[in-house]
Amino acid sequence: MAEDQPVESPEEFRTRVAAWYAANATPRQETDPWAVNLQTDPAEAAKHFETSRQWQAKLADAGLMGLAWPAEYGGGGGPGWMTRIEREISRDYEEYTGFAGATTAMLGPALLRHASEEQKQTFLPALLSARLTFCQLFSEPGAGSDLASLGTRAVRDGDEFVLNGQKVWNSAAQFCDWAFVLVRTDPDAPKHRGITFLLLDMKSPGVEVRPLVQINRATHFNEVFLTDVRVPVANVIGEINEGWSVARTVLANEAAFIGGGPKAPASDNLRSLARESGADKHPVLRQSLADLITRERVVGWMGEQIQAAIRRGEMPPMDPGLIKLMTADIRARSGTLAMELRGAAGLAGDEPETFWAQSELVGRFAISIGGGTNEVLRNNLGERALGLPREPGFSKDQPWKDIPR
Amino acid sequence: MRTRLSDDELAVRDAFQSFFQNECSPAVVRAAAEDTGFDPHLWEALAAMGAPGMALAESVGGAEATLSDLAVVAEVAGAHLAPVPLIEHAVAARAIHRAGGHDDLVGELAAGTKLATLALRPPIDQTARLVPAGAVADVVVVPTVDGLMVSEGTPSKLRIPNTADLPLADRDVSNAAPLSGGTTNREQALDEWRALTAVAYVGLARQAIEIGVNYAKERTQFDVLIGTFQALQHGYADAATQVEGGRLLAYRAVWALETGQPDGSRLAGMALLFAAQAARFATDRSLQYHGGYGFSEEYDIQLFHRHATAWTLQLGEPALEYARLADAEFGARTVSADQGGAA
Amino acid sequence: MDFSFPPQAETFRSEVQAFLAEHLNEDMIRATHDGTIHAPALHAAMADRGWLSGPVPAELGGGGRSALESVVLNEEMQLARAPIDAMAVTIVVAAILLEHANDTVKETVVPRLLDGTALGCFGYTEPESGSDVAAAATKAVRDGDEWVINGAKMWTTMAHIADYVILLTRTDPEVPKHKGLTFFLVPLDTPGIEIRPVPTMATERSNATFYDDVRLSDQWRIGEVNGGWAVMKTALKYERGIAGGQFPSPPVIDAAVDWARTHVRPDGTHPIDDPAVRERLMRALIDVEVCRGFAYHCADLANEGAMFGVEGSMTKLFASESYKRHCRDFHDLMGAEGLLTHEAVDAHLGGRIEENLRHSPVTAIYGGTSEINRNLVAEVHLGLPRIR
Repeated sequence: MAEDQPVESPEEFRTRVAAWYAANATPRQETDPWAVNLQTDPAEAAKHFETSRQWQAKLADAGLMGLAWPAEYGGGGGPGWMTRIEREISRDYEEYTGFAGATTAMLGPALLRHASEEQKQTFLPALLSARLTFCQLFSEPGAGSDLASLGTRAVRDGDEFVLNGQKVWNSAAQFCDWAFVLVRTDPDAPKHRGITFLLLDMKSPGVEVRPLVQINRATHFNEVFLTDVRVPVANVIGEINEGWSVARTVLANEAAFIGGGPKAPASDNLRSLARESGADKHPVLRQSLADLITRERVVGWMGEQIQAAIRRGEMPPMDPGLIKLMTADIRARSGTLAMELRGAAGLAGDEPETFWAQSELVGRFAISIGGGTNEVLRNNLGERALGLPREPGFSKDQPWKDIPR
Repeated sequence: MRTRLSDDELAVRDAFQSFFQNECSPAVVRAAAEDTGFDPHLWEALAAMGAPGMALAESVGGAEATLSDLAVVAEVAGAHLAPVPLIEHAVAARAIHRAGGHDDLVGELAAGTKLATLALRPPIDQTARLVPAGAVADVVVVPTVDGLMVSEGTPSKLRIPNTADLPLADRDVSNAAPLSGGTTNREQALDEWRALTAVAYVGLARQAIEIGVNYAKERTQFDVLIGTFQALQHGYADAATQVEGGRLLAYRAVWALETGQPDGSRLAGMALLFAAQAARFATDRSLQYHGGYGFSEEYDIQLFHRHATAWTLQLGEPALEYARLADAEFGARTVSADQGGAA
Repeated sequence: MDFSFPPQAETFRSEVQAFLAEHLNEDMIRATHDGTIHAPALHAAMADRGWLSGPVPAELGGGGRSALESVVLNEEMQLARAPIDAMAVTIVVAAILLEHANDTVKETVVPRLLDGTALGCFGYTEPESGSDVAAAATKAVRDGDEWVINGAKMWTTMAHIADYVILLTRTDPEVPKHKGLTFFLVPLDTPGIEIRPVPTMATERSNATFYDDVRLSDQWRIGEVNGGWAVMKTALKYERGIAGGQFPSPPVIDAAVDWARTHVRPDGTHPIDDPAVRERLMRALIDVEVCRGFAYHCADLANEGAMFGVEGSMTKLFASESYKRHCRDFHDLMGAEGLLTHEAVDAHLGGRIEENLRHSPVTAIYGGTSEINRNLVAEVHLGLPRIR
């Protein structure tokens, strides 16, 4: 790392990046604050996916992806503050890296930590430049909160694994080139110790993707069926049967990413709604709004503290799961408040404010369930952060195949 | 004192329970949602049961049932998210009948051959905004400063897209004619809507909890039924306690309106606010404890969540309902709204 | 559905209101400030009217009041802020004795409880067994015609003024915990008993009681040997939902409304004109109506002879949790002046909200914690798996 002798000062860096954005991106004030990032039309969704993938490729070309990643894998090898400054500048612009950027943030650290040298050389540059996009194939119909009970089997056949099983809640699986997948390779071992982490080419024969319709009519998620899918053993990340630790690295980054929240705080729009309806003079609603803004600020500061610690290579001062829990709570409050501020007009109509309020209302569950339910996160916090005993009834050391299901 | 259903009410409940079980599956609710949010076949079947006119006088073709009987049906209809404006129709028909002088119309409403509804908020510039069942009703009863008016017209059959796919639409009420009975009739109608909607919320919330509890008794994670986790048990216990409290309050409000108790209007407003909140809490818990499946369109709990949000908002912001109750309880405020921001 | 009271209950309500207007005074209400929630004169006046054993059936020797009349008595007493703890304990202890004690105890003790000359107190909880009450470890060992008792009990509130403790003991450590329990009625002047005060964060005091080789004749045994859990069920039947606690909030809300009407804020307005305050008050008043529904529901079930349990759990859960919320809200409403205790001369209404704020947490703990009641609702009402 070049932390000690920066090539350019933070000020110089900021000027350079700001100039690049000014020349290449659309300033955010020209965009619609009520826009809802929700594609109910599959063609629209595909277009959106492709647009954000191309944006990431453009950023990578300009050397603005993976600023602090090692240079040998396509990163910038720069100091951590570069990432922070770039993110600050990017907030003022409409374009963003979308799904590809999210998986880069989740999968990248796991590959850096667990992949072989050859795998890093192959996949990290492709990941950063979005030349390859990856979807996550973790959850199964019977393995949600209890992810480690997953049952998709991978049986070794020479230099290949043969995969059979079903995955669910697979965001953007219909668009992605590759997947990172958790499979059961040793059913005789306790459930956490018989799992392997694989990279899978989604074009492999036997992979079938079916969309799932959500409460808000979007088809962001899919089910993925794997039937006799052959994957080279060389695609194993980490050791065979030790995939759980790789998965945990991904999940920790996912929780922090989902909890990272949207670019603009919901309170900006709620303030506009309140002003418009005169509710900004209503003391009850003013209090709710002030309460919400306070929580947004607090969670923002918590996130910055965690990020700062990570940049310094220290342990985070608090469990990153807290961020996701608080964000889920904030989202629930903002959804309720949005509907209360709109009243009957929040129910119906085609005004963008109504769509936004409705999306805010159901959006709470994407955070309180997706990427680990609130309940599982609270259990983790109780056990890990507070040192409380595990709940009774777990068969942690029982062979996976003997667990009743 | 009888805080449980009487034998007669139980008979009504059982009859409509099996009716809705047979005629109003979630598939029916979903099909209606794809259309106007109203199911004309279900309405015809309900009319054949005598439901539209059950709480009207015999002289106009009604069955002289009590408001409590109507509430029992509203609870069952709520539990099945029935895509028919049973409450609005019954309340509107009763209001027209109380006003007198519209016996032919009330007769058609009792038979269910015409569909009535109640606009919950006064019209602005001759238009009633977001009228419940406005997309499908032939007759709209509209509240005004002086009382109630009634407007007949051809419904557009086009609903405005909305949270729960309800048949909401704006209605031109420029042809509305006044109903006698003044503000007393208006308040009675709105209070009946509040109390009956509160009861419907109880049905919705009980069903949402039952769906979630059944799921918790089938779904295994961490090698045990998720129903064994105290985190879920306590969430559901709080929800069930609120819903049971809401049930007792809502039926007491119905009883108070029916028997002319002085606190009928107060209890009706309280019951609506409390039952709506309890239902929102219950559906929130049940959806959350379904995990990702709760969020998918395939599972029914999302239907309950969206309806729980929607019903009470048709009346407007909850804050206004609290303010209405507070004015009756403490007297009107003596300072203007923008001076009152000191909190 | 019918939420009206029968005429005799309405008449009784008028009687109770007149009684309270005549007998209840501020001194009695403040009597709680010395740490003992008991007003002897009021208790005696109630005993004179035969009201202390209201819900205990007449054929058992109780007051024979219908459950509807009992809920009326409870409601009126709580609305008037009358101390009800001694009445509640008397109802439960008398009910236990009348259902389970031998004739001698029934004939000698029950009349003194019901005429107000003797008081009982509860001895269930121990330092190591609270929610898990069936884990009681206080030992009773048979020695001829006597029992020798050794152990300790916590939260024996009123023991320092009471004459008897109804004591849960372990008589068989070899069998499952619910099957080795036996109840005794222990006169508190028996040698070997020590009572130590336990001060609380509120104004009331409680006690810890210690039993060191306390020798007791077998005639003081209540119910069968190792049949203690059946006795416990009687106790819980009367305790949850009948013996009070459904209306803790109204006096606090009254005080908050009074404050909101009379207090002048720096900008010259009264809090009562602030929509945020009005909404908070309305929410509290709605909660009270919900409590009323629960109380009447339990009374209706009891009146029909239906055994109720989980309804009592819901009642207590909702009443105590909402009461805590109301106390916090209204303490906040008063700002700095909310901090003044009853000892401060100019505390608003004698520091009522402050006193309730400090009292409120215990209501969600004693007589079954909110967590235990949630477990019961989950298991009994919803049929979720039993986990304890």
